[in-house]
Amino acid sequence: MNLKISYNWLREYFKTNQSVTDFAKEFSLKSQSVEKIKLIGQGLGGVVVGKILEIEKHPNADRLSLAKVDIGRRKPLELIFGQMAKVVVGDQLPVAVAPVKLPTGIEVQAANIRGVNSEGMFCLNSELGLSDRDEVMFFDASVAPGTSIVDALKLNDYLLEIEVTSNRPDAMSVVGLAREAAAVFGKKFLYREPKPSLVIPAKAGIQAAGSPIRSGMTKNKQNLLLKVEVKEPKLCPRYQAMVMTNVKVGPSPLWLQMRLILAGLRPINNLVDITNYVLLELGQPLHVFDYDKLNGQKIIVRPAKNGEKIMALDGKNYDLNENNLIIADQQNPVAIAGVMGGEFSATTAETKTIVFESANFQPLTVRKTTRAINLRSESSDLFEKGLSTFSTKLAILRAVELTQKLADGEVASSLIDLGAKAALPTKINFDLANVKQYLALEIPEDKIRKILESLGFKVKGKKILNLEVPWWRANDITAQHDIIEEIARIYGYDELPRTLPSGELPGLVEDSSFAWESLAKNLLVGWGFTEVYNYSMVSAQLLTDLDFPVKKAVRIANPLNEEMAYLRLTLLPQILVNIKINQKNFSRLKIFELSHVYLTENNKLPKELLRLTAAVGGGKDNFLAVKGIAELLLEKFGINNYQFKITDENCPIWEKGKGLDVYQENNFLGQFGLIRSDVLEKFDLDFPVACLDFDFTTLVKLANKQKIYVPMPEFPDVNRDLAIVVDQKITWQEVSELVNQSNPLLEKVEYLSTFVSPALGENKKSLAFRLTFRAPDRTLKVEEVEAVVEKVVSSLEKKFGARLR
Amino acid sequence: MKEKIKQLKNDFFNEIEKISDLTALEKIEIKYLGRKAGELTKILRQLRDLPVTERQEIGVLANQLKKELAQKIREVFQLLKNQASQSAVFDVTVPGLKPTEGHKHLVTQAIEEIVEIFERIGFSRRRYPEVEWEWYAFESLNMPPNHPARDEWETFFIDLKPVGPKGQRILTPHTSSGQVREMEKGQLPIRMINISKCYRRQIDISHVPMFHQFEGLLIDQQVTIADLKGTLDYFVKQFFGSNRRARIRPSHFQFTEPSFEVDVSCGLCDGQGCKMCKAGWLELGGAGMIHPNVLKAGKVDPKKYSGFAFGWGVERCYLMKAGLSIPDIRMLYQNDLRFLNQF
Repeated sequence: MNLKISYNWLREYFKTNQSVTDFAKEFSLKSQSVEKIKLIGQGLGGVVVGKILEIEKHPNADRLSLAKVDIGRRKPLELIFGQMAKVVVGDQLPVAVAPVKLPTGIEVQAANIRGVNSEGMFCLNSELGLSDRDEVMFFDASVAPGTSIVDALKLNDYLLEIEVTSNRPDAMSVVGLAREAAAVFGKKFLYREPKPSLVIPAKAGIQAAGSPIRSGMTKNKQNLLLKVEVKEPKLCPRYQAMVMTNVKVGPSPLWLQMRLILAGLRPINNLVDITNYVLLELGQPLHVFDYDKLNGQKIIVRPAKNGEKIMALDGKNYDLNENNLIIADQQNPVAIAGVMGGEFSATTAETKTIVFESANFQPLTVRKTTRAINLRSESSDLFEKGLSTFSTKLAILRAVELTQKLADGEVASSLIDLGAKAALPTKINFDLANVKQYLALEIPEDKIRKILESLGFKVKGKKILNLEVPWWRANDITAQHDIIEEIARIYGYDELPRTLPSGELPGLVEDSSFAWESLAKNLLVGWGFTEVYNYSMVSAQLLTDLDFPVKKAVRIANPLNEEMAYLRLTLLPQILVNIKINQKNFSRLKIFELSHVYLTENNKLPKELLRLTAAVGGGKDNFLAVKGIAELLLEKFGINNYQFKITDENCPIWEKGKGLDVYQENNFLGQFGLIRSDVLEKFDLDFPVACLDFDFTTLVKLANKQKIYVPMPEFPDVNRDLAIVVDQKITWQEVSELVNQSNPLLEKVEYLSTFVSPALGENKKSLAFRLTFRAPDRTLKVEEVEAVVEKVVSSLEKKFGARLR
Repeated sequence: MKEKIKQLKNDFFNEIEKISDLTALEKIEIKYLGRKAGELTKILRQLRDLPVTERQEIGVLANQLKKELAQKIREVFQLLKNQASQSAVFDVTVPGLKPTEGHKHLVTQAIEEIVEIFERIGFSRRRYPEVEWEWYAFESLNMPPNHPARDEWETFFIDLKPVGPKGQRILTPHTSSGQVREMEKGQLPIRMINISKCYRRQIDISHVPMFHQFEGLLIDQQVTIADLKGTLDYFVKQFFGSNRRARIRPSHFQFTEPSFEVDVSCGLCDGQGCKMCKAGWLELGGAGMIHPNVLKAGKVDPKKYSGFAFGWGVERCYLMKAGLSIPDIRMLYQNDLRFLNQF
């Protein structure tokens, strides 16, 4: 949570002469991170308090008015203003005297607007950069016109934005941060607990309500004027309340308003402002009710009834149900517990008697309610983190103290206090040997003691310290490792040495699939392919486009959108989409992806299988290009005894007869071939595309790093090139298989080329190939070779009617 | 036949002496050695019509000649070519002939670099499920159901019923879900690095719903914060450059105690503070000493063993390192080759 607080306010509780940047640096390294520092008064030198002496309508513009303003000079300033805020004669407010440039960048120049002079501008808080709100800060008569607002508002200050981690709600306040700062800088923590007078003046109650006001829970009194009942003590472990009367509702003093404004809060009236001020100061949310508006003068903490409604202070209506904890009077909800008060019971200018609530609510119930009704506040943000039940008392006493001071309020009840009171402090025995063991460094015992004491621990014992955890840290400090952290951070992480871990060699070796993955990527990139990464999430449409069964895909319950509702079963469709988006810029495309696909399983996690999909688009001979890739890849993976089989012609992906399945024995390794033309059309592809789609998980299983050494031949080989003319339907495989059987002297048969021409005859083609002959024990004689060649030719003639060209 | 061969040889050498360009050389090659109607080819073809006695002798002669002619043609070819290139203006400024190159995706490049650095200090890479049980992603990491910390991850849930204590199936929002899985293997000490796709429900100029994290986990006896500091500093120097430094600051995560935020010194101002950094430092990511509850969840005895873990975004780290000012992180996953081919 990010807190905006004034540096001067913070320094009221620990004295330092450090510059704000030095403070921020050190504090960030040892406590909470200071995210921003803003110099507040900067650039506001030209803005003064002005008192409105006269207001007239602008003679030539309906929406404009002109004012004569006393800014402490002999001659009043004349200025023109619009309708952003309602002002009347006698108001005192900030005036920018032209020419001046405000910190928000606004330039105020003397001007003549439709015949009237304007020598300055009334300024909203937003224009002065004091807050984001378009509100006017009014000054009371104690401020002389012409006073610089920097002086009037004590703006020689810095606004710190501090990010407090979620485990430290105790530091989400000025006092909490000051306590940290005092520990970090080794200074005295100057905070003093509030001690207001709790004596109920004799006639206070009678004046206010016509009858004596007494505490609701005091046993011996008969006329209980405020009765508090907590029906869900688990959800509301502590509830404190106090009645005050004869309050004078009005604006808060400027210094208080200013602190709220800088923190991003809006001043309302002194009573509401006091609750917000205490929230900033102590991190404990408070609420104030108008006592006379509480039906039956009762407060009941209970779950809402289904169908109950409340209009909250934000002016909106919220529907409540039994899962929402509320504060109710005898009849109706008056506040959403820990989140926001209700409009009906709010204080107004007429309010005379009030009830302060200072309570502790269980984090989970507050959290569930804020999620359910979609309403958050400064209060709920704090309660959700889990506050100490001990902080309610300090907060309510502080509110009483401030109300006595700022609103002339009188205490009209004793302090009502329901729920947890005497939780025992957490005790931890801390073995000092831990310090060396975790920090690789000795820290003197008295230094450790000082650090812990500065953080509020009570420290006893030697070598093994008996620690008493301060109540405000009870939630986050539970064991020795937490103590290590406290010592280490305040001592300074920077002071710890840096070492590389020593120790035994770990036993587990790396999964070999990573090496194969990297080999495949290196090879493909070497062969000119570019690697793509697509999202794992796809639409149902993309799967059905290639006839993949959506039922087998993992469905996301809360997808970002329907385009990303399923986990992919295949990489192919996205690869085709990739080609589509690139085809306008490239005439030939070679891309691949190596990623997981996901197959849903009933009560288990889905199967995650690696797939390798590559595509070649544009250019010629795409089929042969992917076939070559497939063959070479298999070779590099040490997989030799594979077979290609024509894919089932009903397969919706591959062009009929132009897709091949790859098998090694019974293992299906994948497919490759030309993409069907109707698929190309569906994906809007302009050119033929050939793809290869391998089950990489199986490929890795079969892969073999074993290298084989074959002795170099001792005797030379003899080559013969042949070109034969055969029917076009005769395949190379048929020809080569026949040739291969011919003679043991034939070492290999290599395909050279295919050539088709009408001159060869109808439906004929010419196949050229090279025969290599070798004997292991001698140099071959020409006749031997010729004899085999003749035999080959004649068997081709016999079997396929081939003739030599 | 012998005569014919001899004649052929003479004719060939006479003719080849006279030529002066490559076209003429090609004509001669076709005339004598052409596959269809070359003079010598014809003779070779007639061999099988000869009586056996003659066949061998002529065969050897003819084949010898074939080699001789081919050799001469090669020589002349080289000669003519050299002459040609000497006479033409040799322009060294013409672009070289580059082999066609492919490109690894930026993320792969980053992963390979990171893995290599950690492998050198004994970490090895692991693979864990991307679709994971809530138990591994949260509960085993000291985040019980309904813990508010779970909200910090914008988690995708799988549309299937929860299964017992393992909870729901989710797309893992962080690589930390591999921690307890690694411990469960029961092999100590541990030095693992887990780099994987992670998923969070957000998409904008600086967030993608699928991204990559890398996670380091070390568990051993007597592991200190100094070990973590050393490891981080080593990585930062290897990855970002030897003049860079790492530092740790207090932070909070449920699964580490103490928890740290790791910063790297700014490469532009060397830690002095400039426009590109925060007072001289750039935020790298989180780290910490493993929380005893997490060790317990992995059946590792926290009294005997301790450890550290760190987990950061791959994309973020790499873009920081490369100083690539990529305006929108989503570009990484749009697969426009005009982008990918730049790297």
